[in-house]
Amino acid sequence: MKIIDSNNDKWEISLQSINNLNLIRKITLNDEDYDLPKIEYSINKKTIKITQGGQKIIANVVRDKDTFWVHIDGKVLTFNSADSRKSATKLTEGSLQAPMPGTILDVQVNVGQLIEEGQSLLIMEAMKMEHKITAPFSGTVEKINCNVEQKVDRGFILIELKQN
Amino acid sequence: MLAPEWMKNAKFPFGCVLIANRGEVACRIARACKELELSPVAIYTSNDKDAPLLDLCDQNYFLEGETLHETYLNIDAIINAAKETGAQAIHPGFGFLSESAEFAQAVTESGLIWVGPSPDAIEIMGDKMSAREKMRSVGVPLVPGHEVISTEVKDIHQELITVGPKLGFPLLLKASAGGGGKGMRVVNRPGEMAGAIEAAQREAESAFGDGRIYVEKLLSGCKHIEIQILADGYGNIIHLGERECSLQRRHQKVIEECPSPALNERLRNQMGAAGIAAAAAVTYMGAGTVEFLLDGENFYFLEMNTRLQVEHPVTEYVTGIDIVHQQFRIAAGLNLGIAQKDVSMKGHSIESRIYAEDPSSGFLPSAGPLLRLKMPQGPGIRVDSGVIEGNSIDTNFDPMIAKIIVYGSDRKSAIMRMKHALKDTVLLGLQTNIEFLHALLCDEDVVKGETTTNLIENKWPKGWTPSIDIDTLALGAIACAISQNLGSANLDYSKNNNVFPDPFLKLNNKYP
Repeated sequence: MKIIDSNNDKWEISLQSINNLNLIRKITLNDEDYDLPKIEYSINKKTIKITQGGQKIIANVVRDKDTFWVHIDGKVLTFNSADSRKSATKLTEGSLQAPMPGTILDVQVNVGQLIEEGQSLLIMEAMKMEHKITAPFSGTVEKINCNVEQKVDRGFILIELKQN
Repeated sequence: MLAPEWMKNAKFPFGCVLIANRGEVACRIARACKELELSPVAIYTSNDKDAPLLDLCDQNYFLEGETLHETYLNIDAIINAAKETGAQAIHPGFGFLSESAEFAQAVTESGLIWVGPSPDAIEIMGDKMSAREKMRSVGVPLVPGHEVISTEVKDIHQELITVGPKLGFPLLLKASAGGGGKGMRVVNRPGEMAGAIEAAQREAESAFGDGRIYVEKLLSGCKHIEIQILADGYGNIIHLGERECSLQRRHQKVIEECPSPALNERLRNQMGAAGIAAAAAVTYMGAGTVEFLLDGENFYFLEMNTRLQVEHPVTEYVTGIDIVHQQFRIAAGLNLGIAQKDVSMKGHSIESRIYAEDPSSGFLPSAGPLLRLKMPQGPGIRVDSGVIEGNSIDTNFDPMIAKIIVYGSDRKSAIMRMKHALKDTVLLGLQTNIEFLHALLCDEDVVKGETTTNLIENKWPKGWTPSIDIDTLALGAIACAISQNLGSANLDYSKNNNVFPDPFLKLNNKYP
């Protein structure tokens, strides 16, 4: 299986079961072999038990569409399935995404307008908290993809800018 | 519904209570009702039809409507629900209508018992500007500041812009109707004033329907200390000691503890007395909290919350007094039954608020499904939560998912217990602050008890990102592969995903 972690590194793991022994056949990080001490594992109804050098680690994994959520040793990791189309969405530097799910309160610029670095472009709200979206650089507003009162998801591209 | 036996000498006995709230606080109150042999009634909306609250209550009343104003903030609909279900009292919880004098008035006028203080007390304290005036009149020390009398937007601008520099920057703009960090803005320089006034007013208008704001000098490097009050309406007012709530981000509390490592017995008595004076000034009845800023040995009144407080459990652990039980006793017209000399503090308690938020992007709210939820268990661990696995967190409500409260014989053991409880909490499907809370409890200033209200902002101005070592990532990646190959139980959550049991799973199922 190929997955991508939150640092955008690619992991490839293949497992095998021989005579009831669960083994890891191969693990690579960005196509290079990754060395890990010998691991044994088993799975309970909801949890995965990994034993590494006598130390037992319990992991919880859930999959939501293309995203894997992993809880391991008090830490939460997310991985994306490498063949998901999601990561293929073209994101340029000037595409400003919604940093949180919420509602657009105010759009403060127009298409074609010249803007300066740090200028407030729009205001959104979630859980009654206001959040300002500001320009990361000076440039021109190319496209506005949202309207006042529109509800948007996290990651929605709100405004597209072009650097001068 | 008959009143329980313990109310037999009460002036206003009742047997059935409508809880005008949702989520964790509604569950907390419902459990208290059951313990006290009162019959709890839940109100709910279409968003909350899978909430565990509905199983905890004897009756569930559906509120029609899409918006909060049509449902949890709809005074007429809630009173009507109480009438139809035969409830004789209403407990408002916190948030929503808990600090609405109008609601308290309407409840009382319709012949129901209001579990809370009088509408007058709520009104005076709820309006931060009138509260400041009241406190000034009884000699409770205030943060230096200025209240604007006019309600005209233009006048407010003019007055604050003139007064601001006299108080000295930085300043803090606050909504007069405010609370919970909403409608607050920091102003560092005169040039930021106009924009900040506008933003604070807009936020205040949106959150409270009241755009009036006032200004206080922003005291930095202070602690947030609050005093828990109980008053029975017969002149008995006691305090249950303090809670330290200095650890905040965006003016919202994150971790609270009792007792505060900064207070000695003398200061505790002084602040307790000030808290009692504040409550007496508005002839307070019920449970309430008087919030202070502590600057060295000097303390200043911030506001009084005329309701149950989110962090009340830490006081309950340390004093052994159940504050919700006391609220019901007082509402029934019984006297306190606890004197100040009976209140003692033992051990140490800490609360962590689990928020749906992303610490790495400056603690912005997040949302999503609770695909896996396992809360910690064990001695000295209390979990107050209103959700179960399979529920979703959406952006219509407050981002708090649950609270973990621990008790230890001293501060050090409470911190150790909390750190383990946080590591033991599994919450998958959306971003939360759980790992950040753990990191906070590892911070050396927090460990030393040297916390201030701007500690989080100073240490992590842009938010907090976990550092994850590569071997943990490798194990995480392996765990994904194992779950996929061996058919982990998660797969039924994936919609449109027609997965058949993996045939290899059977190879593991060897029975003796």
